[in-house]
Amino acid sequence: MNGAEMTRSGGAESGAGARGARETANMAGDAFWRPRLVPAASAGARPEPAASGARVEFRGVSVSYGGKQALAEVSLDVPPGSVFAFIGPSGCGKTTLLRCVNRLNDFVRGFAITGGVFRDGEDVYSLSRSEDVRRLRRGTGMIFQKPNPLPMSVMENMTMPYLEHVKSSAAEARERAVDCLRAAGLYDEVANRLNAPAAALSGGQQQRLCIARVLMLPSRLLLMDEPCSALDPISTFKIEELLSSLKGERTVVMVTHNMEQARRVSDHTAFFLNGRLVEAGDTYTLFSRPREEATERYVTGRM
Amino acid sequence: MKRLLSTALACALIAAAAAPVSAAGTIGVEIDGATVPSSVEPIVENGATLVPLRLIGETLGARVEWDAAKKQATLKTAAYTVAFTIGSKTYTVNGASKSLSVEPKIVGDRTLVPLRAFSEAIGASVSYDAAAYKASVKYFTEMSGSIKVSGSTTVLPIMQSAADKLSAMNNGLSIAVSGGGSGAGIKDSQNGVNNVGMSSRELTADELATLTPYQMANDAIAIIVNPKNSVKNLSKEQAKKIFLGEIKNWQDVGGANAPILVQTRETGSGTLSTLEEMLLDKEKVVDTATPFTSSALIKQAVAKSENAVGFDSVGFVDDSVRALSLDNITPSETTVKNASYPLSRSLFVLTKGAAGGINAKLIDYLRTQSVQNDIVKKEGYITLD
Amino acid sequence: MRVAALAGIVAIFFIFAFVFMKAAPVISHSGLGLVSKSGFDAQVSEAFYAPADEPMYVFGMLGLLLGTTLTTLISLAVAGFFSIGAAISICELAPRAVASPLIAVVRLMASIPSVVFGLIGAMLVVPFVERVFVTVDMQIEYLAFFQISGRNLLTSVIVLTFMIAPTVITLSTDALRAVPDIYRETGHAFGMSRFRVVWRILLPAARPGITAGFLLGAGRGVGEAIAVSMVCGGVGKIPSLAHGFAALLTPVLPLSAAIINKSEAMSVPAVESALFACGALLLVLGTLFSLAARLIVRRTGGVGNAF
Repeated sequence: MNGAEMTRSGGAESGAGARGARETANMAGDAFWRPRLVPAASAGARPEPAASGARVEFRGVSVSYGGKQALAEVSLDVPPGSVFAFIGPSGCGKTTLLRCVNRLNDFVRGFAITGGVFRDGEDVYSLSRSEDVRRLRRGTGMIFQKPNPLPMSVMENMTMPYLEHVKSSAAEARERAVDCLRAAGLYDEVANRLNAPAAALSGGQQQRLCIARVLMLPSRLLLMDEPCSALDPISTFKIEELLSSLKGERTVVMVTHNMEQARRVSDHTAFFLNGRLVEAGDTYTLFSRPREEATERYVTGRM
Repeated sequence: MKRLLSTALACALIAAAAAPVSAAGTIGVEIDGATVPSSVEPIVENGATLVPLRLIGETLGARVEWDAAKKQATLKTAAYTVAFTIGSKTYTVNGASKSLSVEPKIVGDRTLVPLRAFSEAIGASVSYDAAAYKASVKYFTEMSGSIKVSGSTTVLPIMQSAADKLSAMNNGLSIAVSGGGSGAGIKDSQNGVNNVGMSSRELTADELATLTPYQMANDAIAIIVNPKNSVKNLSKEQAKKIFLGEIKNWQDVGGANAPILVQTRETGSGTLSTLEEMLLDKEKVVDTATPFTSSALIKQAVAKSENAVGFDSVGFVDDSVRALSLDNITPSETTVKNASYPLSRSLFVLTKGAAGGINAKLIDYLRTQSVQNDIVKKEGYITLD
Repeated sequence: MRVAALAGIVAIFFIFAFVFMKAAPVISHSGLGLVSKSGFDAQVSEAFYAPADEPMYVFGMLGLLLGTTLTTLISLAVAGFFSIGAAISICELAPRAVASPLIAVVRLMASIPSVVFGLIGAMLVVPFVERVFVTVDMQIEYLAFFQISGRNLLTSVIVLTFMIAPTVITLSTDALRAVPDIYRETGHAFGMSRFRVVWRILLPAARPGITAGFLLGAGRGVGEAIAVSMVCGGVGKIPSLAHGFAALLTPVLPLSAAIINKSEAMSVPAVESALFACGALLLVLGTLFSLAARLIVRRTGGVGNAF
């Protein structure tokens, strides 16, 4: 298995009109080499493929669930390598939009979408073969609101998804897992609990385990759905720290309720209200000089 | 009230006196709480009720013998022998002469004897309800005390059912029935351990010196095969060898080249014990035989398997299987009752000395028509007569 | 709650005590031979006809023990295989319109009294096995060892499989349904296929429930008496691999069926004690099955009780 199977759209900028115009390209950056990690303490030199984050574009995206509109006409560009925060009150559609990127909404009954969601120029909703969809998801790391370690040991959590996709020895997978755990700053805390059930870890540790697990597969895009909402401030801090270290070679799209967090870690922010994109821009500008009154009310906590 | 009663009595007397024979249809006879069907047609003469011999035999369990030359009817219960002579006012109870107010007579093809005289002779209580114009006899409903019964497991099912019925009819009666086999039953009777013994074999001369047997049913075992089997007859020796597993193929007894699949009953079955006793000389059925827990199941198995052979009480055999003849004698009620069919025998209960009291009543009860039809026949045995 | 638990423990203790007390004469006279020797059928007959003053207490139940173990293990394996498949189909593959009636039918099957399975077994499976697998030549060949008919190990296994499967399917389905959706989503988010999600995530997550289903199934298999007694052949023969396929057609007599079939002879105290010894072996066997299952879960799962 290598990157040769990736396809991407030829003309990303042409938006929805790019549907159908496709070419196959070798995406060396997605090849399964060792991950691009930021080692905290390890001095070991690892071959790092120079890669940059994926580009995500939304073009006139409207979503409804069983006829009930959840998103209307959202168009938005997520620049490669950036950290992009979606903010807005509950039910504003930000999570829905996030889940469109790796088509995780497909399992929701009554889900319907119009418009285009492009990843590196490829319209993800034009993928018809299930293996193409799986390839899309595989290349996209997803962190859920609630830590979601699988009911197995810490080590199995790390190696299972990896071994699902990579022909590798168990020993190699474990070695890689240790690297990823280090990168997530978790290794020292769980070094003697690698074979313990992941559920026995604290909430913060579990969430970092999930991030470490995502690192096992080389993804250029990370989707985070309120990754810190269930965590205490210290765990939140650790994860934010981790996040900033991942920046650059991965694009991060993050849904958050925490205004401070958005301000601290994101480069760009989009504000949603009632299924509509109200305003998007670079974080500093959006928070300090919002164009829309609704945005201002929200970021200043008056809504 | 008094007037009403006297009027009723007068009416009854008038009716009785005026139409001795034609009034027969109107008198009611009740024996042990059960009304005798009006088809029996008892008649009243000079205040005495006469009933057919057959009724007494069927309801009180008496054995009836008729001596045409002497015109004498002898009724035998377990404890009493009562002899009536047609046209004579003298009758005997266990040999002692007594006199009657009305003589027994023959009307049409029926022999009629006085109900009260007979009932009192055997110790039953008789009452007459003039108002209801009804005579009632209590025999099996007036029992109290306890009876211990043991012995043959072949007889046991009949005894157990009969004992259950009697216990239900009498409050102060307890009957304890246990098995142990004929030998044990006979030994228990000799030693006074039981009140009534059960045996599925005839008593030896030695045993007869102290014990009195009472036949209460007949039993026979049919060797059954599938109706498609071409074998129709076996010698007793062939049958034995088949069940011992020494003959394994139907072609050795004149059938097709097919395995003989012996079907048997589980240990504890009276039918199995009987087979082992009467056919196998106490040896055991071959150990590859498939055992079944009931008569119905073994019959069904034979009915379904072409090469199977099994055995069952003659009373249970129906068209789904074929009963083989043994030594060219087909099992039937006749060949069983006259004992010409090799696997037939009589079933007995026995007492030390002559039976008396409630033990005798129990024995009589076994010989009533209700037990013979409702229990003996239903359990697959052959009735007495 | 605590009182109920205590009452349960006391009840179990008394059941064990009662059964072993009743079985004591046979166990003490037979010693280890009780489980290492065979010949139960003949021994029951012998004990039944033994004179009352010299009772026969020596029994060998190896045949019955093997009968129980073989029927249970084989049918559990077959039923387990199909049941997990069925549970996966019901929970993960079938559309809801199909799955709901399907699971209703399965639940209904789980509540069918065993005697009904016995009847169906005797009326349908026995003739079926006889017609499909049994030939006259075979019957003649093996008549010296055992009688080949429609009642045998194979038939017992088939009937038991149908009896065990609904239980295993029901519990597996419940277990699979109880797996939080987040696990499915997690798997899909990693780009795993439906099948891989089931295989690598859902089944391991549902393992405690599935194991419980297997345990209950094994319990039903070991304890099932009436249905098996109607189709097992009723003779405690020991299947021998030397007979090849015919070994599957050996009539057997599992412990529980023996208790039913031989109860006609129970008026004899020695036979009664022997049947209680069967009961004692069943209790021991049941306990062993349960312990083994727990051990397996602990060895292979490890996280079974972490969630």
